[in-house]
Amino acid sequence: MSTAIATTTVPTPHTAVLLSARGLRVTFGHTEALRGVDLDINTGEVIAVMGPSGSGKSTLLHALAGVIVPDAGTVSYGSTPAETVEICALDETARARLRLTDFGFVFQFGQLLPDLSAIDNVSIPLLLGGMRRKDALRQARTWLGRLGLAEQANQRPTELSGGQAQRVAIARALVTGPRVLFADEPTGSLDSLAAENVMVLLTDVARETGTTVLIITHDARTASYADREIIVRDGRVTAGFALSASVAGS
Amino acid sequence: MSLALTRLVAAGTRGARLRLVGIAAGVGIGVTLFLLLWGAFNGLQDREERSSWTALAVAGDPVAVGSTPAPTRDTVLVSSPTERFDGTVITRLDIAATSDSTVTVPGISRPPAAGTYYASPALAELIDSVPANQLGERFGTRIGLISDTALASPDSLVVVTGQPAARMTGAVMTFAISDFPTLSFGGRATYQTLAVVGGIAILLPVLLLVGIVTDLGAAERRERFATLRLLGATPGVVARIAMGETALTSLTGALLGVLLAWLVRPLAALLPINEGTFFVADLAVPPVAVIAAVTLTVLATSLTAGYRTYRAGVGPLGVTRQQRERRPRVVALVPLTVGFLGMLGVTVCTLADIQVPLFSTLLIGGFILTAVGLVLAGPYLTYRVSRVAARRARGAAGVIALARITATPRATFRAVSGLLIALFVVTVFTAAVTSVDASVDASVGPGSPGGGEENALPAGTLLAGLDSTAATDFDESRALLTATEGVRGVALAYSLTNWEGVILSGSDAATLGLLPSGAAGYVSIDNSYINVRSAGEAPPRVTEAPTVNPDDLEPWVMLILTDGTVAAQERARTTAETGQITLMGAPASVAENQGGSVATLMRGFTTMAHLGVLIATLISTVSLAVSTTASILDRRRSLGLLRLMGMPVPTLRRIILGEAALPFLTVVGGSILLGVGVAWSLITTLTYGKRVLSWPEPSAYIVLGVSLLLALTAVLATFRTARAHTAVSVTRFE
Repeated sequence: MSTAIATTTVPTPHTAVLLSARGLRVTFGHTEALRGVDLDINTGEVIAVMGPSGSGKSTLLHALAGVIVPDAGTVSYGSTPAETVEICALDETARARLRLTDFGFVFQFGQLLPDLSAIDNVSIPLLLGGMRRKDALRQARTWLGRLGLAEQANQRPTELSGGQAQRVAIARALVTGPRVLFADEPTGSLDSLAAENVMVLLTDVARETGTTVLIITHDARTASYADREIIVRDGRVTAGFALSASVAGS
Repeated sequence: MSLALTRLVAAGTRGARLRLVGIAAGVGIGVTLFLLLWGAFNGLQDREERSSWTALAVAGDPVAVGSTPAPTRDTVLVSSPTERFDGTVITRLDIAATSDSTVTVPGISRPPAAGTYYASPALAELIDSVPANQLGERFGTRIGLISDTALASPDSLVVVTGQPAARMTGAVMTFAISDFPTLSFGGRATYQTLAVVGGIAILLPVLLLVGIVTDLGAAERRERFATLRLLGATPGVVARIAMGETALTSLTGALLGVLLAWLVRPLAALLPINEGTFFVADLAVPPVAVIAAVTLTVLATSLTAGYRTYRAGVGPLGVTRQQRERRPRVVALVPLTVGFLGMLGVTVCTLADIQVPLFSTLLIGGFILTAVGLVLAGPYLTYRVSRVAARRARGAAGVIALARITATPRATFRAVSGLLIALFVVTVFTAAVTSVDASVDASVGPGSPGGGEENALPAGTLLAGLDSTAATDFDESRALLTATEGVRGVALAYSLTNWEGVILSGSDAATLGLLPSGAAGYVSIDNSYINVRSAGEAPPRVTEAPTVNPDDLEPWVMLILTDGTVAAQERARTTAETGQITLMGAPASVAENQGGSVATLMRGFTTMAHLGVLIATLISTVSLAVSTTASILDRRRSLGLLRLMGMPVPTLRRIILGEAALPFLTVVGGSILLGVGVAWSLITTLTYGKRVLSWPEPSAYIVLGVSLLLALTAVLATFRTARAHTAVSVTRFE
């Protein structure tokens, strides 16, 4: 049974739907990770996905981002009918290309290449997209400066603190100007102060650039930075709440 | 620390168990090859000792030429004329002994009576396989076989013939011997030097392989150790677990290696090295050596594993200490420089006729330093090149690969070091086998393939050196030879005191095609007609002979023209040897006379080269594949997340290729040049400058190409693993 989110009941400034999932079902062996999920995500919206371990949060993120293809259901991406694509219908190469150009990712840990400096790590998505290295480095430097890491540009991940490493990861995720940023437990390995800093930066920059953000988290405080919060339990979306903009901005 | 805990930590998952299997297999292969090499080296020494009794010069002084001393009860007369069959040299000992001789001949006890012979099993088989008039009749009646205890190899062709004392004229150097030598006299130091060099060349990739496999999956293991630390294990306990894990695994691998070495000994013994294949027993290794090999392997691998784990600083939250490698320093170039310059120094001294004590040891030492130095210098050179290249990198693959190389030059170079050592070894041996006699231009020599000139010896001509002191009826021998099937003519060449040149009768010159038929009188032709021609020497000329008194002419060489078939040549040899004429050795073509020991040495080189290429390349290919896989596994999370972010698979492939290609390309040119330099040094020193290097045969380039193709295949084979281990479905559950 699909569970549609009552987004219509929540006042929101974001009207154009950018990502839309219908009837998503994902099974791993005998385990049903998603049991028919319907979800609409609007352009520029910051959504927090919460739920207990094993509830299907990460699977939902992966299905929405085209990392995995669901066993059933559809994921539509695009804010206008003309540009909308059905992600599940794309082959792996096309989905990889879409992830590279339109999506950004931040994970809990271990996402930076240990041999590369911070600036090189940030420039990698641009290089993958075919940009000249000189231009990529310039753009990466700009983003590091924007996230307060100008002085750490030439340091390697092992020389950075956890919070700094996460900010580098955010810079890397945003450097290509993605329309959607997927963040899976971005503050999971940080202390509360660092986590707060990371979330402030993440949501501020996202709102500034109009990037849609989907955050997976266990932490209510992290979730409080979102415009909207949805709860996933046993592979179903069970609830959705609109959060106060003042809380998100604090 | 309990064994159960070690087992849980070390082999708790399928991946961990596979890793242990990989380590055990790598150690097993290493120990197998090590024991076989050790056995082969011992075998070479044993062979030399067993066959040393045929080296007559060590046993006594030669008797005077022309004298006819009689054997006594405790002394035999022995000579060793050159014997041949179809291009192969047969070791022949002619013995004249009294009927009550007390002299013991190794392998046969009593000396054979005149007209009888003992043959080695391989020669007996050969004799039985061809008509008697082609080989068997040369020796008389076979009365037994020479025991294996007196033979170098199962393939050894040895015959001991009994002769009447009257035939032991001293024309062929003859010795009065009471005891045959039974100890090695070091007469094959040249070959042993090369054997040691070859053994080391194969052993180095083996050691590199063992080093590489024991580091396999280190990152994954560190994660498990971090969990143990979180549970309260001290760094010492974790290090001891790592040691225990590696000790058990490498002990298993080493024991399997011992078993494998024992099982493949019969196969390895079939490899022809120097004088033929080995007796299986030759490849045996003393139990003490086996125990030492196993113990040292287990100790070295487990201590290294424990030390590395301790140094890694695995903390409760993972590896806390920074894992960046120490930057390679320029001092890493010292062993290579010292080794190579040392070899060059020995060579230069040899060319300048300066005695260098222990030059063989110095050469081996120089070779070891050069080979090991190459491995040590590689990371430094790789680091330098990668730093320059990293600044110029444009694409993502280049940036990622070069950053990896710059940060871990030792690890990335280690992946290709085996291959580079293999390439170095290949170059040494392929260059060495190209060596030619610097003083001889074989292409224009008489009887050579290029000897199509009008005055060169006709093809299929055998030269029989004559004992001018013996009274011989040449007409009878000439008649017998002429009547031999396949013989087209016989000519007798004379020497004349105070005359440089070969004198031939006009009719014999006509037989050889030098003059029209019906020619009379005598003509002279340059010595080079029947000898080795020096490079640049003019072709031999037929000139008018001086006024000759036939009584002054000394019979020198009998020239036997055959139809060129093996059967005809061997029949002619048999007839000549069993006739009335006293020969200086078996009749031989000029090419056979030129070849001799040099050809044997080169065959030894070639076999070792092929073995070295095969083993070193195969091991290095495995090492490269293992190393590349390990480097992917170590970074599978970060590379996997990059793929999740949209990095295309071809970019991942380019990263893998780049990380293997740069260190390889950095050192490949140097390896080849060093290989040529080392080959030149070895050949020039060991032959006292008599041989020089030439361009390799096309087959050498093919071997080289195949080796590189294998290496490329090893890298390509890891693509699938890389793709699978960085797949989105794997990474998302990390």
